[in-house]
Amino acid sequence: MNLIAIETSTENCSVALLHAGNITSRDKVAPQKHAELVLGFIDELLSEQGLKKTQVEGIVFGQGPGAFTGVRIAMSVVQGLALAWEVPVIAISTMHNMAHQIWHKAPVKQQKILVANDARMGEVYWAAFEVQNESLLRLTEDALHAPEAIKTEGFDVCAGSAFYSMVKLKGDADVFADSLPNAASLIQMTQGNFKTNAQHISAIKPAYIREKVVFN
Amino acid sequence: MKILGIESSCDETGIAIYDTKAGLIADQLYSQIELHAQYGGVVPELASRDHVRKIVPLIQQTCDEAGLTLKDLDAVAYTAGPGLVGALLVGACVGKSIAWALDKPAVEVHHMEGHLLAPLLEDDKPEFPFLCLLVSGGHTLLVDVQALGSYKILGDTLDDAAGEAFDKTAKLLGLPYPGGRYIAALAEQGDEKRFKFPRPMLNRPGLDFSFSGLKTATRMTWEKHIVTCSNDAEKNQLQADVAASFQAAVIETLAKKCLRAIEQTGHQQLVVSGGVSANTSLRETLAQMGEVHHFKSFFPSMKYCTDNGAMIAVAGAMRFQHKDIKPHNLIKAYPRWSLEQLS
Repeated sequence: MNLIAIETSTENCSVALLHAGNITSRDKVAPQKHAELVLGFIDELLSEQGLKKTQVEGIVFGQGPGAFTGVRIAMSVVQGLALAWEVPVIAISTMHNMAHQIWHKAPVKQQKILVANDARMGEVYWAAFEVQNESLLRLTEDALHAPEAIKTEGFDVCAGSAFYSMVKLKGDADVFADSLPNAASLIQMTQGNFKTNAQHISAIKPAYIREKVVFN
Repeated sequence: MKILGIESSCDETGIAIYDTKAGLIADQLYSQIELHAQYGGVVPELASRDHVRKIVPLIQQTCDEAGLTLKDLDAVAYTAGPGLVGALLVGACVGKSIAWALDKPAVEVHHMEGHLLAPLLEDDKPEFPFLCLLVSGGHTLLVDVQALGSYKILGDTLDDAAGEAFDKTAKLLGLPYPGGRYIAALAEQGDEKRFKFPRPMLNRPGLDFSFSGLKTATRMTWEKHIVTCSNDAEKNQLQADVAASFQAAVIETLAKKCLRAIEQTGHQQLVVSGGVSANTSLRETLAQMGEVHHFKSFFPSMKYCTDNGAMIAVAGAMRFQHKDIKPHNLIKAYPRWSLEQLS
């Protein structure tokens, strides 16, 4: 199956391609350049693999939470591509993506993973995950809270920009504050079940999590 | 040639398909006015989110209306600026991605050029060259239009745009948002001679505008008289008289500057476009002035005065025919972009 993946909800502008079972990708930390880079990256990956645009069969993308503009760039690029190619889409949480990377890099039998990113305005986006029986399970939904509300006890790994200084660590977890979501993970996460889970683009929404955006 | 037009620069999501032979063949619009009304103005983040929510169904409806699929199109045009950057990016990302995915050219359209060319959607249309008054909530521009892409700004506002002055005055009078149309409706029941508001910048040479002094004069008059109203009838009459007097001042200012520009440039056609061009009194005043001073005024039909996808599709089609535009993969939005930078 030929899939493309796009993740632009953080400073990482990330695109990946699945073709003939191989994943190729482009990642570039380029704040505020995502819109300018994203289609060019896909162009490069397609031509490296000798694929035509019309051979793409589906799209996976990171739906947030993250920077609002970044979330919308992936979302609206995918809206355009999915409408034009008439292909189905899967949207995946940024938090889930980061947890998957932790697990994928060092697969262990059992592990609790806490993901938390700086959401600005003194808050963090976060979610908790657990590896059990060789699969990654979600313990909590993606949420937005003050850093003081995030309890780190009992976690084996903490990942995300909130762990630079916002969230205070209790316990002895391994910390990966520089962890960023990427598009290659999106493809790994959907492989094998894309067709079952994919939807028409009209059914897909971004996940901002922060709904209160007007302050009077 | 069939071209898809996408507009998302502010609080309207507009999608249309223009055929250079058959004219406008599909046109869909979603206005976010109700969403922003409770805040008394456009909230950029909410606007961007609503564009994302509405753009896919609107594109589908537009294609259905035209009986076409996206593959049948020859090019995609979208508003690339000026406007709210987050809102612009939605239309730019969707539009460019559709074009790129199908190897079609993508045309970046200047929002104000869209307004300027909107009267070309009408049967009775202007021909280059002409003078254009672009008058909306964000702009008050007098433009010398020699040809497509040849624009010289003769006059601009030094402070508030005319439409902004309408909306702020409406708010002062306790009218709903956006209040321009309510001022116009109320003015019909008012005495425009009751208050003699300033006609800003008319006593000075040049073609620039300024509406903040008029706004202040209106506020002071309203505050002075409202406290003397002893019943609702008096208050309602005051409200209508202030609205009528305010509107008369704006329209006289706009009209006299148009005439001054017509006399300076020698143009025989005046195109009036943008949200305020829906104002009936402005239309009548300019039409009558044209009869006396030998110029003809052109207005878009009411639904194309405010933001819409049709004007972007038309402007995109003209741009596409005017310049060789190749498919490429760079998505850009230009929140600040002068008409004079076009060519």
